[in-house]
Amino acid sequence: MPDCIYHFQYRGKNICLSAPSISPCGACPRASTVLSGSGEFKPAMKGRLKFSIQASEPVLAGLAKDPRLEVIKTISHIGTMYVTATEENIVEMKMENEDKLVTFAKAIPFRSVR
Amino acid sequence: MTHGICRRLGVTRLWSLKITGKGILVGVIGTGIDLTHPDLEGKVVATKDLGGHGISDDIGHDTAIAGIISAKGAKNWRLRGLAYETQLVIAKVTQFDGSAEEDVLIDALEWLASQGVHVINFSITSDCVTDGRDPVSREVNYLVQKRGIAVVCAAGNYGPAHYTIGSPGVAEQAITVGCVNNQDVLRLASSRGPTLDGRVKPDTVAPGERILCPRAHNTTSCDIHSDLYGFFDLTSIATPHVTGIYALLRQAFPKATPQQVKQAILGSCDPAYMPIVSRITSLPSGSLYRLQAALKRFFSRKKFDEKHSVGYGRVNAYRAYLKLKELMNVGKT
Repeated sequence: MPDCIYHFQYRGKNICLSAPSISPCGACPRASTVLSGSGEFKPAMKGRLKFSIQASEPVLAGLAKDPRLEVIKTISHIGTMYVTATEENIVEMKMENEDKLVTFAKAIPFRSVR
Repeated sequence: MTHGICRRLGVTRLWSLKITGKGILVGVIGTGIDLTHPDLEGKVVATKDLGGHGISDDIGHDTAIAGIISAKGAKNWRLRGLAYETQLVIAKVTQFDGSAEEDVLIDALEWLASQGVHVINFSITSDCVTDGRDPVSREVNYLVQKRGIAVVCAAGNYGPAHYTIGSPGVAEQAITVGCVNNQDVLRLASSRGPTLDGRVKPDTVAPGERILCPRAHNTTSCDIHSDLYGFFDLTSIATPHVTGIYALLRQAFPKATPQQVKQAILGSCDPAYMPIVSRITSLPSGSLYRLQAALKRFFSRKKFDEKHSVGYGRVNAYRAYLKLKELMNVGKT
């Protein structure tokens, strides 16, 4: 399975960016094993990555103003916003807004079924 | 698309009733299309390239799919598609390697909806499993419920394990299709349910073994038959059979909702069978006790395996037509 789940330990808290919508894959236990114990956030990947955020419209409007995120597009009829950000910023934002978000996941890769 | 498969699926009986997909617009999301293929010339009313490499089909995947649905049978009438008088709207979303991005897929679905399509064929799936709350699945549910557009999705080729259906096959409102061989036995690679939240998927199964389809120019992703045709396999090829049948039923009953057509298709399936090997391979070797336990599991799991592997069974167009006729008449009285 591909690296589709981001599970971090950050300031003593477990953060799973895609919970609960996506099943555990190989990446999840691997990432938490690597990161647990260190107590520090270590980005798995450099650069900005694409994430989807599902939340109510007012919450999305608030997040759209966050300078750490670059909004790609908002699809209001399904309450979804696509953003790019660094992993570190995403993890911080996830912790700050945990209660308000429905899902917060790295954009899933798709491919033609062959 | 051979005539034999159309006959087996009950499609030829609908043709004899002049139900051929006329007036139905089918959207295809995928790898593009070979517009010069004689079976597809004049079939495509609109295209949009969201992958950024032009609309031509570099892989050959969706030229085959478009052919199963709508091929004219220009070179041989026995090779025409299930709904050979439908017209097509093509959204290309993939890169050269066949991959696609989540937000691009949502754009493609929205664009196809804006073109007025009646049904969308979605033979693309996510690399990981979701519970149906991911954005693409939600968009599929939205299109079916709010816009009245059916979406037929491939289950994927990650079988024989259970819980292997990705997005948007897990979307509640999608018609999710697995694949069987020519004896209606499930193919091992066909992804299986249930979904992570326990719903039955796939919904139905259709033929997906050595299907003769139009081959895009210069592509080799199939077992090549001739310059214009090739043999294709698995769930992406099974899916357009159901899309074609949906188009036929929608022509016959223009007022039917996607939910009613889905109900008719699922309520009229022929039996499909589990490959015995998939259950035998789960038997462990070892002591008699372990063998006894395995046999117990073998029989107790049979029902679960069947339900979440072949769904309601193999699709049958004519029986679905009769079922939908009955449903629509009940609605009138």
